[in-house]
Amino acid sequence: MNCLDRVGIQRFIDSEVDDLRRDTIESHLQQCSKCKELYETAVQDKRIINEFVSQTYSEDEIIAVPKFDLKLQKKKSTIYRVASSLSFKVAASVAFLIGLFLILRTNVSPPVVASEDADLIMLELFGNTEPNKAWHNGQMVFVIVDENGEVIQSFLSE
Amino acid sequence: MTFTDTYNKYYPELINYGRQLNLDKQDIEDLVHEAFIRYHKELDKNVRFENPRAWLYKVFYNLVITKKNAKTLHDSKINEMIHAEVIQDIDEERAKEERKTLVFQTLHRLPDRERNLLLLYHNGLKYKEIAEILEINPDSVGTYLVRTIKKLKTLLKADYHELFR
Repeated sequence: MNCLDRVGIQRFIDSEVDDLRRDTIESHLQQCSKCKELYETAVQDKRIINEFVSQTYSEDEIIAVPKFDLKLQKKKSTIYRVASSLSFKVAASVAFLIGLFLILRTNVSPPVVASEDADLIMLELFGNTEPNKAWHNGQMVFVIVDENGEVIQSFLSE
Repeated sequence: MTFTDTYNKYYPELINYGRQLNLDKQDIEDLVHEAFIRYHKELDKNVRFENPRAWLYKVFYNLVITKKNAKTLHDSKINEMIHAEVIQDIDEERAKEERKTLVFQTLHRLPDRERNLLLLYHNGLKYKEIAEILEINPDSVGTYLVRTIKKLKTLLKADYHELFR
């Protein structure tokens, strides 16, 4: 076989070659002093580097394995937990809808029209409901139209 | 291998790896736990893992990077050690500590990716696993490793020339 390069030697000492290749390399190393020297240097490098990494990061302490708990999520702040809870989301949605309703309600309040500029064109009462009662029950519909009969705005009584 | 077997087998390895990456204790435990939660969820989705070890290392390392970026954690410990005065002392324990500091400094002169490669290699991961974690071609792991070893040797030679030919 041809001589090995440094990467080939590295793969060999790290057992990253198949058995057949391993046997071939072992035989070659018996015969080739150049590759043998390269091999010894690589082995020494590996030993030194492992030794250096080991002494830098102490691995003496025995690590206890805690019981795995799927429900045990990362610790999060109380505010985050409250904000992400379902009940908070529901409450926030309801509050938003109420706010939106109030804003829209304000916006649809009828325009101020001076009585002398407006004419009552038509008043329709359905059934026997008293006008005052219909007003208070929100059953009265007001429709404002312009002189061409186009609807400008419509709204319910209080 | 069941989830519990995988957990019991790789939990200590990942904790140790987290220490090598210079994280604080609480962060390491949180991130290792998070990695296993993700692994568990994948199993629930019937995902089959050819190599759970490499997958866990990769997920854990990505969580570490995200955490470091979020905190812009620039190891105060490293700075502390790099700028620490080397106190000459005949005391053996002190000498050992001093040597450790020097080696630590040297390793941290390597770019993150290369240091990570050495840590994974040192932790006994196979080339295929390293390739999966670092997202590189398995065939190029040997080349990358040899290049990194040479680089580290050059750095170490300045202080420990007697150890190298």
